[in-house]
Amino acid sequence: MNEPFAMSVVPNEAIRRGAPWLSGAGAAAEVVISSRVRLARNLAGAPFPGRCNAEQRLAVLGACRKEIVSAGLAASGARLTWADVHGLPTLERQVLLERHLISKEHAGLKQADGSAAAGAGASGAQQVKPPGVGPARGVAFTLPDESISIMVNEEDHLRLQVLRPGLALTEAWKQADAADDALEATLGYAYSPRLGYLTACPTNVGCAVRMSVMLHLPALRLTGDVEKVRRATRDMALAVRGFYGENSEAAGDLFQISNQTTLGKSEAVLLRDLEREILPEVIAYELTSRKLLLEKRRRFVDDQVCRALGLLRSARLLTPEEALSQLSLVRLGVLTGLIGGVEEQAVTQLFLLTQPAHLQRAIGRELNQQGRREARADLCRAALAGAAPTGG
Amino acid sequence: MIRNGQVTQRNLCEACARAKGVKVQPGPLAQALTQAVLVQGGAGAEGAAGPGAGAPVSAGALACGRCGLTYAQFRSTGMLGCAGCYEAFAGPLAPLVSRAHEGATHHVGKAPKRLGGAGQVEDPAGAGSVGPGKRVTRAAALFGSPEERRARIAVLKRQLAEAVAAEQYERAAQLRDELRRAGPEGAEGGSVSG
Repeated sequence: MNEPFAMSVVPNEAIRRGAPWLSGAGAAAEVVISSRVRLARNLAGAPFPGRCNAEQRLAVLGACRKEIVSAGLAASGARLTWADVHGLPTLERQVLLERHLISKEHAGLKQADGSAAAGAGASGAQQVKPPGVGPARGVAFTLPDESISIMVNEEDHLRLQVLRPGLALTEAWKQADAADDALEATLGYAYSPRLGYLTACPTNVGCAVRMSVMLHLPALRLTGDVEKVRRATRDMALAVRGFYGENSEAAGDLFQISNQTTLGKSEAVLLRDLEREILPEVIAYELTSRKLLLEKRRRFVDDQVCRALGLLRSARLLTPEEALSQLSLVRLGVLTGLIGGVEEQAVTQLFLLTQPAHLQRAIGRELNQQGRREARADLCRAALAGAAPTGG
Repeated sequence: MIRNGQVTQRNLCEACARAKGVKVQPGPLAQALTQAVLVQGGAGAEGAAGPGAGAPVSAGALACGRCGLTYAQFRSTGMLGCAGCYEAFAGPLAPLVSRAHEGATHHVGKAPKRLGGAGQVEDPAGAGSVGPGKRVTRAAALFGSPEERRARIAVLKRQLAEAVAAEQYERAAQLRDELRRAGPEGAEGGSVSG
């Protein structure tokens, strides 16, 4: 086994199984894939990571690691894993990115889909880049639940996130709040009574919290109404992003909605705005659209989802974008009863399992772009072997 | 001042380019947002003699005594160097922070336990209630002080005209929405306080 695979921090079992946040559990799971709460925190005594010299970065990394691993953050039955991200091979950093355990910036990859990095891994010529890439940075996350992850030396010293399946922002906030309390007891945070938690970027100052949900909105895309959601949420100062954050298109009809401002509103108000006011409307809008499509344009929807299934069951080469867009329709087909013979959660996990690094980890060797397209098509055919149209 | 105004416009084009999807400076959304806010802040400070009065001329030379970051460096990256920068650049930073957060100037929410914890800053409306408290907060957050609002509306209108002239319709739509939110009705009252 070559080095990128020997140095894996995500166990093989987790790679095969998929991610807990895609499990289809939780409230409103038909529409809400996952909920995430992310806190930004900085140590009072050190410059922000971007301004640290190498020595200071290492000191911050060491201090945070010590407190994080001893803070008792893992729930019973789970354990906390630490990784020096700068010491991980490209492939493993990409795995962590695909599982949403670290950000694109923390992974140090050029593109969110990892295509540049994956290409480098396969070409040989560019593969000379050794492990030990970029400035000192780390991540801690819990296994097997992967509910908590803490990035150290990202844009801020600490980026603590809780990620859960379904609509569970309140639970995610409680868990993040408790973990934050545990760390704060020993790490002195940079905090101002007037401006709140001080962050490297002033747009995050205050609560320094980002609450977001990932929504699957295939019906609103089919009806063309998804733009209305975009406009409405933008008017409410919410950010709308794709599967892999900023600058990523909404591949697979997956949209992230999160709060944009962090100053002047308490966490409780941000939670209430999202969970009680905005999200119920968006969820109802999508569910109503699904219902109306089935009632009024049943043949059209049936055609769309069955074509998607046919494509995934027949294709020999699949790009990530094509896989995501067809999987989105198959998921809609399963949820509306137009497709049977496959579990919804098996389809949802394919959103992740068809990503480049996951394909390579699952197969156990590095693949070039052609190889990944083949592996992606093979995986989809195998996973959907039992799936079939129910006859409309 | 006019010269500063011209510099501001050139920066704006970069922001527009970003809005169009051209990667002027790859980085997190927050960074891009800060850039946009910085541009607005510079222009606003010229029109309204507020805490940032004189800032366009002198702020760039400001430096943080703790980490050495200059205000000019902050302007180019949108990232502060350390907690001390918030004090060192308090004057020019205040309108930028307020603008990035819909007019809010004070933190409301969690505080470290060592400083008394969340109890001291609980939101009056609370998580469970949906009442007028929230509307007042939101309106105040949106509209800020009358001078700030007028300055902001002027900047937004100019940006909108520029966006339309450059056929940047997506950005124009965003600016139009912002203008709507900054609209005059019910805009009395100062900025949000803790």
